[in-house]
Amino acid sequence: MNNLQEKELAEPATGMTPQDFNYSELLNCMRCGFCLPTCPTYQETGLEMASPRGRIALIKAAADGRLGLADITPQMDLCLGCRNCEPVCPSGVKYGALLEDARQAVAASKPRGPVRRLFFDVVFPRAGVLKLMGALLWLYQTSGLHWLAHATGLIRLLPRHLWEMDAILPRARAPWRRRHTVPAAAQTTTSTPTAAAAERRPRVGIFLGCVMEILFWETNQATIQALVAAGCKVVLVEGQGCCGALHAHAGEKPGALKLAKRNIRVFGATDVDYIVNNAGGCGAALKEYGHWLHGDPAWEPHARAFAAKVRDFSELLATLAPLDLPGLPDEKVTMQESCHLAHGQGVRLQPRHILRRIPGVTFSELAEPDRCCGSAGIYNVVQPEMSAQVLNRKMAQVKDTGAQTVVTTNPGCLLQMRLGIRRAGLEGQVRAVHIADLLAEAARQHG
Amino acid sequence: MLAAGIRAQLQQIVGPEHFLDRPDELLAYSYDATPLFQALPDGVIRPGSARQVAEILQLSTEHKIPVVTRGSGTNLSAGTVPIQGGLVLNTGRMNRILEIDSENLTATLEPGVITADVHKAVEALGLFYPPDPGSMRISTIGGNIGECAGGLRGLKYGVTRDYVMGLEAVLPTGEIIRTGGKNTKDVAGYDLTRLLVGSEGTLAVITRATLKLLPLPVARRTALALFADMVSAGRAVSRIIAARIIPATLEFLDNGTLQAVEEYAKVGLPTDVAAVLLLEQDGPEAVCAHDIQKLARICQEEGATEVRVAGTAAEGQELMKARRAALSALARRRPTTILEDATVPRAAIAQMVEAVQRIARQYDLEVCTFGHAGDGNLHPTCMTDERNQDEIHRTEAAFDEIFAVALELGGTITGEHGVGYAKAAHLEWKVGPAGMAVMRGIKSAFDPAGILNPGKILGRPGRKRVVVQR
Repeated sequence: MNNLQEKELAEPATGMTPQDFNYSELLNCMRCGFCLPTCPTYQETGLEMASPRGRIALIKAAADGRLGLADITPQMDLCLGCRNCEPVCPSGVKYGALLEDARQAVAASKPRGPVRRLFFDVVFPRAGVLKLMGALLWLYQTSGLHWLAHATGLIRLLPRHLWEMDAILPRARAPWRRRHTVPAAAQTTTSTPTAAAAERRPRVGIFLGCVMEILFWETNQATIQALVAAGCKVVLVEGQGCCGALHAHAGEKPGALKLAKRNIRVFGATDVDYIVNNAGGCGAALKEYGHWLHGDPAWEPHARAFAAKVRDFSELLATLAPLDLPGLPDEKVTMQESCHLAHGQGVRLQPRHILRRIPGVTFSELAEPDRCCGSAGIYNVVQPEMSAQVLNRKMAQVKDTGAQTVVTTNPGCLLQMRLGIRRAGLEGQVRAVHIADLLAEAARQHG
Repeated sequence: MLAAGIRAQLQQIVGPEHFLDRPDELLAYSYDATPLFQALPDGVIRPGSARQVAEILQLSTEHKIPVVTRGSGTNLSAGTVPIQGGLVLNTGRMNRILEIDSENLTATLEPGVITADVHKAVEALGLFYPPDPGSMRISTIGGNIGECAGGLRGLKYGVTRDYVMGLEAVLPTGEIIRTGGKNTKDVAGYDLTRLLVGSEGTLAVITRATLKLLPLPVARRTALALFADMVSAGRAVSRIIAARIIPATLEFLDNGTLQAVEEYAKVGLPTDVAAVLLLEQDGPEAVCAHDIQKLARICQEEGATEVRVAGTAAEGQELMKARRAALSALARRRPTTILEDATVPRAAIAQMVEAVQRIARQYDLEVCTFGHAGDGNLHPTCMTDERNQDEIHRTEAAFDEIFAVALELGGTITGEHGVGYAKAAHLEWKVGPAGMAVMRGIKSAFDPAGILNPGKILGRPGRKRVVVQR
């Protein structure tokens, strides 16, 4: 494993073109239209080109040379990438993969602008820069700048969706208080794997993620604590970074592969049984590393081994002994599923199972729990209008459940639900939390 | 290409945001659910009212612009592919349920309402709209009426035409006609309602419909029967009907479909049987329980190797899994899936299924059959690859032969998918030259300029009938 150096391997050609699209997969779409009612953007627009079937037809037309990449770009951009269309497809078309190829071709056909280069080449790949961002956010929030910007209304010089987003961002943790701690009782020692196996404690490497670590440090810590309480040995793996999902979804596949290789290398150097994450979007990407590196003889076997160990937090927790939780005072809880957890990973029952086991929780399903909330990575920033339409529909359904708490399993969804609560004027009545934080809360309550 | 002046007038009628003609927009309305057919329109227009439809049609007649009416585009006979260009008129914006009348048991709605939404709305009031085509979660009522859609409940409850009581439709000249109404009895003149149902958008554009509703059945029971040979399964179907029981659904899977289903969905059925029948009865609890036992007994008497009767609704769902997975299981085998709907009188089902299997062998094709055994409406489904020209030619030849056999058995070339463009060349086999002449007369009475869905139903010269050797 150690002989795998990312830099030594030639970068794959960035030049994805429509001729490289997976034509057999495009032909697998039999155009039955069963995906249309599941698609949020079709639901909102009623337009065929804004549906999965329409987008596949557009991608195929580009592959056939009937349309140029510029023609299909608007609809590739408008897609949330939620993959709600995949479970209902009779032919089992892998829509997400087709979309990623198309986006990659679109991205490769255009010069990369400075913002794109800043985010995808500098910010997300570099742990140091990410930490700096976290520190700057903390400074902005605690120095009074945040207060000043909102109090003076200066913040409103930004587009509405951006200042609203700023208002709901959680408080970043102080830079000097960002080290995670694993409760001593269960901390992994240097003991041999056989000794660990004898104890039958699953050895878990925590995948921290980039956004999670900056914005939801406490959630990561709560995740560690819950796993320890459930009897896991938790390992903090140094050198890990962003999963590459945002890159892949934005057509930045070479950057995504680079990040994947880094994670494969550092986790591969450990002897963990599971690689656990608490962000549905990251988890789906981590599980796809084998496909991403398909055909790369040096990396594919390692990528497959890595992917086979990946579990969502709820996926692993549901298989372990129930936590001993004092519970919550009577609370009505609903869940907004992460698209990439539900559709990308097929993990749907486990989070519900965990929630139902918390004493005091009454679980109430949303009318469309697995329909995208409009967050979709950075979609709510780049497509604010459609995102808002999709969110409005979601919030109406949240209201219908009468729940006080909306649980999510992904940071993007969590921020989006907080935005939705704010826009719907439900602040103080409804809150949005990550499932790990709700568990931590239930563990704290006494009497 | 539309002339700039016409384009501007169309934009003025509906508002510029509801007229589409960017290359990606035209591409997205160039196909429907029929494999192998695609043609670009010159524009897509989305009217919001009957008045706007009238203005669009008037203008189109004046300038001889083809108009193809389209709902969600789930047509299976290339009926909504704009083969001669022109306008695709999408009814998606006209999607209001205007009234549910519990006293007259009717629903009045616009054509763009999704079929499943009608089900949901009326069932909430304890009412029932039976037609349930496979695409009901996305198909529109307008499309269902245009095609006279069927579904799983056809045997007991009939098809779309049995539930359309009245229509409002715009003629190509821009006049608006109203046919039928809420009256159970109405013999005032020719039955234009029935004429428009199944007219596939070639006579008028439907802008409003009044549908008949029934009380919602309270209970449902399900059974499944396995047969070692096709003939006993066919005989069981005939005996069930002869025993004066009309099941709500009576579905069938052949061995090939069953194998595909097991491979894909692992529902736990033996794959060495020749046929599976799925039976459902609905109605009052006592009637369901009685009928399902009787159905099971008949299947046993006709030599079923195994009969399973579901005790609960959940068990019933479990049994129906095989049928629901059929299309998915088949569609995954090869890139191109051609789903046909040759239909025969139900007594001839076994013969038809065996003929399909023989023809598939003869042309060296993978064809599996499933479908609505109770009403003789079968779905021989060919798994192929559109890139293989030779195989596609063999598929076409095989289906020619399948249609010919169906007609010989007293059946028809299409039970519920419509003639459209895909089967226009076969229509004369079914209706004969005199029948074609009458239909052409009707077409020109409604649409003298020939702008509505040109080339569909009547548009292709008759294909030479194949001689079937037995």
